Amino acid sequence: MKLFYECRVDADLEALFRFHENPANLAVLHEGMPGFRLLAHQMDPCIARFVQTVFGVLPVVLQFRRVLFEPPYVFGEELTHGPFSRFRHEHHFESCTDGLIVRDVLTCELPWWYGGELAVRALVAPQMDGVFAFRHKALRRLIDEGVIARGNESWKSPLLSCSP
Amino acid sequence: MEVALALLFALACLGATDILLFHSFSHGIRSHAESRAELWIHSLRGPLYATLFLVLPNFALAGGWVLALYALLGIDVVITTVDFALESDSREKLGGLPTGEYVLHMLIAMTFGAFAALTVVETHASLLAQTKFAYAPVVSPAVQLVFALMASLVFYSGVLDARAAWRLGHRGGFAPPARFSPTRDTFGHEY
Repeated sequence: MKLFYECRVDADLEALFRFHENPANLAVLHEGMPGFRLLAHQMDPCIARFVQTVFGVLPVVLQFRRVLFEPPYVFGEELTHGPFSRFRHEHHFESCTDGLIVRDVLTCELPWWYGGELAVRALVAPQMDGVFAFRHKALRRLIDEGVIARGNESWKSPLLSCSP
Repeated sequence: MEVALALLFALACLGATDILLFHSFSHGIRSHAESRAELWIHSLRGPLYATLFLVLPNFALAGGWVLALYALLGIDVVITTVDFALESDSREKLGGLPTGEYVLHMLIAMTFGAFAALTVVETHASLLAQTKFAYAPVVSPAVQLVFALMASLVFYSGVLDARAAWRLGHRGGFAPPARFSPTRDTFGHEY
């Protein structure tokens, strides 16, 4: 099953890409998110391991390795440790007339013994909706605080979408 | 013996929850190199509990066989003790043992204690009798079937643990991605 999320932000493309490509910034982007903890990360090869508590009680350890890198427009990771049979996360950054579009494309598959696609639709997708709604708010806050440089034009716009 | 078997059934359910939720879904220790020793220890529980699930509901034991049963219970105490000692190192890089798993382990340990105590109470009178291993079911055929199914599942789980421990010893580290595709996917919803 594929999920995608996007938001429009007023940020510099290069700065936004550099922020996202560094796995250490997962901790910055998810700061304050209940149940999230970055366990380990490295740049070469780019790997991030983190734990995310789901349903309030069950921590799930996930490790991703970068498999796609086309700066400053796209990069992607694939799961190398975790309960999913496949989990690919692509980050796309696109310029538009009034800023940048940050688009996250997720391809998730659970093995049948964990409920397969039914469980992805009923349980994983709602969790991801919450995670990416949080990430979009955090991203806008980080831009407002100057952690990520703004783009040339100063404009404000609400999130385009936080739903798959 | 019915109460002891009920506790054994509860123990099986709690153990299965531990394996499915925490060992597999949450931490994925079968693909975590640092969990090799823990996996070897877990693998010993497969044949041990399969034996308990098959023997206790179906056979009457006496003499040396009762002693053998006590030995199995003692071995499980050793396995559990070593397991607890290994777990903190085994799970360190996975963020440590989850709180829910701590609680579950405590419940499992208490249930095992009650099961072992009741089993000893029920069987100690046969300890000095002539050694005997006779087919004498104490539960209905349906319950026999449930225990047989549990025996096969716990044995299979033990085999999976042993296989994972062996594989990790030869390869090490997390498994590489099952599929690697450097090309960009098409946007859109796909089900």
